[in-house]
Amino acid sequence: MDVLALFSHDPAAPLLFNSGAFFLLFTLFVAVHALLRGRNRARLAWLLAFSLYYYWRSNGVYVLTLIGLATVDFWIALRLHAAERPGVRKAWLAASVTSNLLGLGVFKYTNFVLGNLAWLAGRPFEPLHIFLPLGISFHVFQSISYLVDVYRRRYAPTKSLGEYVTFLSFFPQLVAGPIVRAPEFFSQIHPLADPDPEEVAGGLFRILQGLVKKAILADYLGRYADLVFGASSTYSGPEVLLAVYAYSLQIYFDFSGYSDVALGMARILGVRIPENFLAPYRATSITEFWRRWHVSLSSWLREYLYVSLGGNRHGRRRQVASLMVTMLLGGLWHGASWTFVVWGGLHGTALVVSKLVGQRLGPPRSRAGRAFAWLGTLHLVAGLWVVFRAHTLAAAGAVFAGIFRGWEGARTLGVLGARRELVVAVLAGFLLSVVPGGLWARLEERFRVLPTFAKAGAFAVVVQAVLQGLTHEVQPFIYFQF
Amino acid sequence: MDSSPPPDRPPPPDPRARRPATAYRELLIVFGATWLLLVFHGALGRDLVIAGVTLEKPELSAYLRRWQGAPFTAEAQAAIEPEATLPTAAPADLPSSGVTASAVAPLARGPQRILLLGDSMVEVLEPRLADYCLENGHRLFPAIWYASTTASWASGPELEDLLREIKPTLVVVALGSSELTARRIDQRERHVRAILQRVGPRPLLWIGPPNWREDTGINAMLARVLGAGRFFSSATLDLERGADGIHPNAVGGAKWAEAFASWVREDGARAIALAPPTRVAPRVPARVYAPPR
Repeated sequence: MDVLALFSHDPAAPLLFNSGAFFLLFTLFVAVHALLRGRNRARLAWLLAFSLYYYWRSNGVYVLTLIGLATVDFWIALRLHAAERPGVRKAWLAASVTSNLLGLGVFKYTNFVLGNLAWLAGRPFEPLHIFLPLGISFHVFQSISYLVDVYRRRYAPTKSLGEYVTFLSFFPQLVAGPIVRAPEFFSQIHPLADPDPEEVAGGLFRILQGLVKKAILADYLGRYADLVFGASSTYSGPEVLLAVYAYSLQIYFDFSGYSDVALGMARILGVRIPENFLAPYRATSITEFWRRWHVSLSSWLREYLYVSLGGNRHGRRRQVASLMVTMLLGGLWHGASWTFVVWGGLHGTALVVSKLVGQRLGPPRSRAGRAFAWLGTLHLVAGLWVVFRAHTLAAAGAVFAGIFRGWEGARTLGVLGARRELVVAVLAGFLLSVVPGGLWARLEERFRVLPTFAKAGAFAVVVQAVLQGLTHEVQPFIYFQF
Repeated sequence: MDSSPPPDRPPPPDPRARRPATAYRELLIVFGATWLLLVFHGALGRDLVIAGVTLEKPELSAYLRRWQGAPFTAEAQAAIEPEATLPTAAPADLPSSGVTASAVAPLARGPQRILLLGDSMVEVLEPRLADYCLENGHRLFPAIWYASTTASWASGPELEDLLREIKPTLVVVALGSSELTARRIDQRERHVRAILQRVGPRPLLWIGPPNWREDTGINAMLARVLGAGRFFSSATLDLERGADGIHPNAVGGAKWAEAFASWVREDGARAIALAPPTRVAPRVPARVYAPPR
């Protein structure tokens, strides 16, 4: 590890939380943070400097886009707050939301739009080389929510530009969320107090939890999923189905693992950021799934898009239309590709059907009914992940076709027998995702009361195992690309 | 009676005020212990370079093995006394793993027991090689260790277990894909030599990685250490790739296996019967190992 190279910009090597390089920098950051005890301004300045450095490390000069976005939105929020006339306030809001979405659109959707226009015109298209700054989708949404809340007079805007840039660039959640609301953040940095020992222990546990989920479970399952999704026609039905389960678990452990590490690091700094996953694979309906999956995004979409479009206040037709638009745009938010739009559309359709059926039948009452609803929801979600994962709809179709091929008894047993470790990992993964009563929470309770040396031993061994288990390249988090 | 403390004494410490310091002290111990383990166990995996000065990774495990009197692997021995055990340059035409060409057992004619081991590329090669084996009466035993490297096979017990259980008459290694960007080729060379030493006199062929990017020297090193008759270079093959852009897809994998089979027939030092297949073999169950920890 070249220590000095850590301090230079490298677009090909973003600082990932599961890398030794990041752990080294985080150790240095926490050491200085602890030394600045009682000096809140210095602490905040150090936090801002480190966050901007972290962003610059992988985005280079595009750190200026983040600072620019923050500066413009900070200024507009002040104007918006000061303005009294509804027309003026609306104009400021429209200007700010448009500028944010335009910024996002230029970086993320230019090639998508031009490619589709070229396709319509029957012309060849060579994609432009446009750099996509990491996490832009997250901090643009975070900034929009701030502006809309100021417009709705939910709170007064901050008067400190530095504070606002710190809010948008807070490094634990900078590149992949959770999307944080401004009052939640600002109320915790005045002052940025030392956390309780319990909070620090809880934070350490969440980091461990996230690393285990990401570097051990998600990366292991992901290698198999990559293999099968890359050549699904050469695998038998049981193998393809296993890959679909493996990917469903991979994306959950990958993203929730990232969120755990983000939450853990924030807690060590004395900041609580909201939970992003509430055991989504325990859902017994697709509506419930979206209350549990990527909570900060789904609540953002509900509050700032679905409700703004009319929500459920203007009759059923309007509600269905609002829901579909929200989910289609939510799908597009994940990436500039029609597969994401289709994925969002299918989820929207499922939500509409679920709402209509749910209103008529009510929730399942018997145990068997609940089990059936749970299994159905799980398989619906897993099936839709195929569309999410595939690069084209044809590739997704090939995976679906592959599931139904080659289910001879002996062969199935042979396949499963040859992949015992994988089958065990998938079963253990589902068990970990759905076990009732909060297994992780119970483990956290136990970890918190351990003596310091035992905590140190556990942390050291897990970090060691995670770093040693890495291949020559650290596997990036899936949600970093959004 | 006045119960307040005399003015010249400091007030008793406020327990709430001390709590944060305890929290960070605990954090210091936890992070400190983690760094100690990382540095001394060498999990960082690489040497530490500070301003051009290289601090070599301590090979604690190798010293421990010597201290405990456990048998050395070539790797561990090389880590302690590299100059004593490893020649700095090997003649290009001789296997230089400590096993001389004359010590390699001649390949028996007729059906073979072929152990095909390596990283995930084994999974890519296996279907078409299985067709060849079925056609020519050989038995194929694939062993896939996902994301494994030469270091994994050189140090763990997996290779020796497989050799003992399968008793192959030919060992085919497909490794190196995870080491295209390796910086310390000299370390990889030690691992390759350790693998050759473990395989011993059994005939061995090595299928090189199918480069999806320029390598930093792994192919050149393999060619040098193994010699032309035992190393099949896949670096310049034009193979159709899967969605990850790395692994050849089914078509690419079949093409790759065809190229290897043709090389074995024509140029390989260990020619075995590999007539083109006329039928498709059922999938052979593979021994699968989880990625190395």
